[in-house]
Amino acid sequence: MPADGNTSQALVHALEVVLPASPKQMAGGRNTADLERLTNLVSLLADAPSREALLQITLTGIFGLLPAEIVEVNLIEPQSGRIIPHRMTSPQVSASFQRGARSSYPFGQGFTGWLIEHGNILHIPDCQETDEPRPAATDEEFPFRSFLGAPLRREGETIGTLEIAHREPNRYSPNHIALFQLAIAQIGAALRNLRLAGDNQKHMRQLAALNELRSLGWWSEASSISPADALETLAALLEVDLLAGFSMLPGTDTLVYSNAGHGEFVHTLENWKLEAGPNTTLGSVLRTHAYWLSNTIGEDPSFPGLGLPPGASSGPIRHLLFAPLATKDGPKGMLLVARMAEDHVFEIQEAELFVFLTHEYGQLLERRAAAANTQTQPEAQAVSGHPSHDPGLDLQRTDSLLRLAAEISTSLDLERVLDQTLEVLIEITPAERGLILLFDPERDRFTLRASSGTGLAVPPGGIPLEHGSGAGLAGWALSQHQTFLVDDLKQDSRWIAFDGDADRYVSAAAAPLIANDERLGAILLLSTERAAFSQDVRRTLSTAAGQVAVAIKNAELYALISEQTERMGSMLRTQQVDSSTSRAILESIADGVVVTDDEHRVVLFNAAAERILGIEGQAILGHPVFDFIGLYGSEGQRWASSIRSWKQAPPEPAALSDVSERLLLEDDRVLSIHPAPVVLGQEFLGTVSIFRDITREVEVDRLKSEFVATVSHELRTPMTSIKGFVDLVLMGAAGALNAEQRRFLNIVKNNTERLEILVNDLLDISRIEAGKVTLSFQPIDVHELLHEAQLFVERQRREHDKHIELVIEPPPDLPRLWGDPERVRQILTNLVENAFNYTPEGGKITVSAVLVNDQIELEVMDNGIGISLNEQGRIFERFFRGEQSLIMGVAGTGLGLAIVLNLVEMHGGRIWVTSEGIPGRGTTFTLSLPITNAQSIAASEGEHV
Amino acid sequence: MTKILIAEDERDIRELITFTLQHSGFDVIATADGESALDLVGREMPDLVLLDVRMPRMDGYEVCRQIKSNHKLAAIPVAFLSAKGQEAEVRAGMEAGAQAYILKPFSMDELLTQIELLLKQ
Repeated sequence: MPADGNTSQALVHALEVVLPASPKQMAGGRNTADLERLTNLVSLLADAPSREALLQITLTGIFGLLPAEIVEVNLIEPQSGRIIPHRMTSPQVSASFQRGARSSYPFGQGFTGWLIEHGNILHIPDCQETDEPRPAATDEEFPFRSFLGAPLRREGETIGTLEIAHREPNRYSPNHIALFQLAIAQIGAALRNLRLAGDNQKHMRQLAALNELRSLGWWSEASSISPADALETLAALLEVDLLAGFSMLPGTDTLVYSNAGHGEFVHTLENWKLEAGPNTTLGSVLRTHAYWLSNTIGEDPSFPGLGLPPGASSGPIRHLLFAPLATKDGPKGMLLVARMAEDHVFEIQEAELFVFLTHEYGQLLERRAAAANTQTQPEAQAVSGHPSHDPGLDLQRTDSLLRLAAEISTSLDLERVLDQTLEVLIEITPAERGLILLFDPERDRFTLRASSGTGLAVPPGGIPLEHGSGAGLAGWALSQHQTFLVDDLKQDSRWIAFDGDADRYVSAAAAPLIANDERLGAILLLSTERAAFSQDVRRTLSTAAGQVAVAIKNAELYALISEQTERMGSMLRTQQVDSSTSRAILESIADGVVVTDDEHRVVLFNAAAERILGIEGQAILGHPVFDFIGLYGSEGQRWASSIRSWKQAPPEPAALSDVSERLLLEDDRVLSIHPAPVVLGQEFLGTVSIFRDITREVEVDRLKSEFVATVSHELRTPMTSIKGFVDLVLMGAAGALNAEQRRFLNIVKNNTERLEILVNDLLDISRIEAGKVTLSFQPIDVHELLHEAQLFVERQRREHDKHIELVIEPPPDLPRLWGDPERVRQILTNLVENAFNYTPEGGKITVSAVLVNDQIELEVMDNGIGISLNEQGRIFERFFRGEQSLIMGVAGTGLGLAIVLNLVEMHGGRIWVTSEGIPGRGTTFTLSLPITNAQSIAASEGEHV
Repeated sequence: MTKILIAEDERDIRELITFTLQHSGFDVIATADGESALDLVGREMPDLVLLDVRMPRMDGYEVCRQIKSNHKLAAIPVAFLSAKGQEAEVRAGMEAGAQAYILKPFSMDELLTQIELLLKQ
């Protein structure tokens, strides 16, 4: 490993880890731009005035945000269950696919069907490589390969899908998928927002219609409006398909159709007779001034709970609503409204409004009757003095409600909405104190959020109360979905006096706050007088409660949107901070850093790079990096070609550790360069190159090798004398030797040889690791190589007087290896020598060669002592010697395999060992080296340029 | 009798080689520096010259170059004996005109084999 390698490589590695987590400022601010586009999309979605506008914004917004050639929003049509696609395609997408576009198609097909069924995001990197799901059968000419889709949800309900696709495969990175998911969530929120806004608009329309009723003179003394006109107005106001009156047969509890109907299907009702006795559902509705509502008629035409006679049919009616029609003399009948469309359900607010309007209709009828009577019985009108029948008060109440609606629908401040509601209610009702309790479903507790009139002021955030949904008047109103009156609180066990002031009150009116079936809280009106509240107050309160509920939802929605906007903003800020932190780190680092974007432009050139290279960053920034590399002539060409090739195909991270280069500057300084690609998922974002001035390291390295060379030279000279004189004595040149003398001198001789090998190996490895060994590549004949191995083993046999069988399996007709013949011989000799040394007397070595793809695998197999499993990972380390080698008493330095590994890697080859670690089962070393071909020759020529 | 000149500044090695070669029946002329080696080659006309690389007064490469550039002496085979076994050094020796490069430490067998080989040529 070169002396300069460790820190720079660690830095490159750290950058690879850090960069994907922070925006690629260095790669052209990509993430920041994405987030800005997303934020932009969110604000456009929030302002969408209609569903159509929202769809259009979604289509164009997604087009701008993600690489897509088609964007499709598929919405489920609730009535038919069919899918209605809305799509936008890029001009490049073939006309054939456009022609095949569908206007609608059945549920459950293709990707869309899969998304709706599974409710998950679906990413298909390549549609041609996937079995399930497939595009719909109608998409036979589906030209796209990358696909990304997700279900669109509104308040937990899947209402359709959003899908994008591209003709190139693998177009969507994890970053894209994350953006897509963020966008989907935002679109879901916008759809919900739109629906709530729609609810509010509906309510406003109804109140506007009420205003219209007033202008028609419903409440004027001299009203000339006919009952038929009045009913028609009501039907239009409530957007119903059918409106009919049922009247009480005199002297009975039976309601019959009264012929006062409006709508196409009125005849359906002709044979209906409804029982409204004291113990029937309708009877209790009639007497409590409540309403009867069913949105599930279509599922059960027998109208459970209504007691319809057999044979009666609901026809096409899907949603049905009854409200009682009464005069001061008692119940007179009921009004019925119905809707046919599946998704046009009656909301609770609408039911409340219907009750109110039915009451007003009753009043209208009564006034007309009174007016008719005035001529004959003037005194009759005089005795009828109930305040609720005072048209002046009615008018004031309606005005107040309209004012309330206007005020609270423009305010998004919850406290203000609640306070104003109570003020108006106290003004137009006999209430002395008004309270609004909000319900927290998680804690199942109420909080007193607003109080008006007498009593204590409520601090911001409200006063937590001890009771929840099941208790108190508020709890009862909420659980029963009913507005009701209590004439005497002292007699009512539901009443909980939650503060000292509350004890004073005697009667109450309570209404639930419910929007979209969500239980929000309750309004309470209190009075110190017994039975202070009339049925009119009840209706007024009920209408006001519907308004407030929507206003509360709006305020909550506003808070939600603000919070989301804030979150997006803070995300953006965090990203910017991350980004500037990364930049600051890169700027202040001691190594030179040059970062390029995906177009190879220099986007960062830090202070250390300026210092090391002696170049002003300003002169380089924004320019192609090759201009700058060009300054170093042919020296930087490999670096430049690496950078170029990564844009086409980013390498595996493991392959990167090899990429390093040295640059020799004119002033003899040496730089090391470690370039690396910056890749997020599959996407190439740019490159980062780390520079280091390694002039000193190179000098130290040179001194080290020189030292090792000198030392080994100095060691060799005395070794020559020792070895030579021992040889001479052993040859008998100094007289005859006895057996003992001969044995001792042989020991001296063997150890000298061992010392020699050690010195040679040391010199070898220090030179290889210093990069001083250059290979001279040429074709190598495998047969010759194996023959040399055979000669080597024969020599070993003689020298060690050890019998080992050698089997050279004659190789088939193999191409020639590509390598340095001297070094390849060294590698093979080393392996064969190990096999010889670690195989006991009488063992066997087999050497074979086989062609595998572009490599020849040379195998040296023995049946010796093997290598234990836990030692196998370490045998290529320097100076590592296995336990067995000590037992076998084999001389060695522990450097042999380290040298072999280095040499093999320099050849672009691989070496590995297999051994069961069981004595007698042996060891197999496999050496894989490249064969000679045009490519290898060209590559080696490139190296030497 | 075959005459071999040996130039080696290391006394022990000089003695070792001298002894071995004499023992093997050669006529040996030994010297410790390059200058006298060159002088002796001219006067004695040996059949073979063995040169250490690193020697006082004139290194082995230079001695070899001078021998090879002298047309009267150029035919005499020259072998280096050196502890410096790196490629660059071996190459330098061969470029100077030597016929062999024997790396120290060598065994006496190796040395004698090499000498026989060189004399045959």
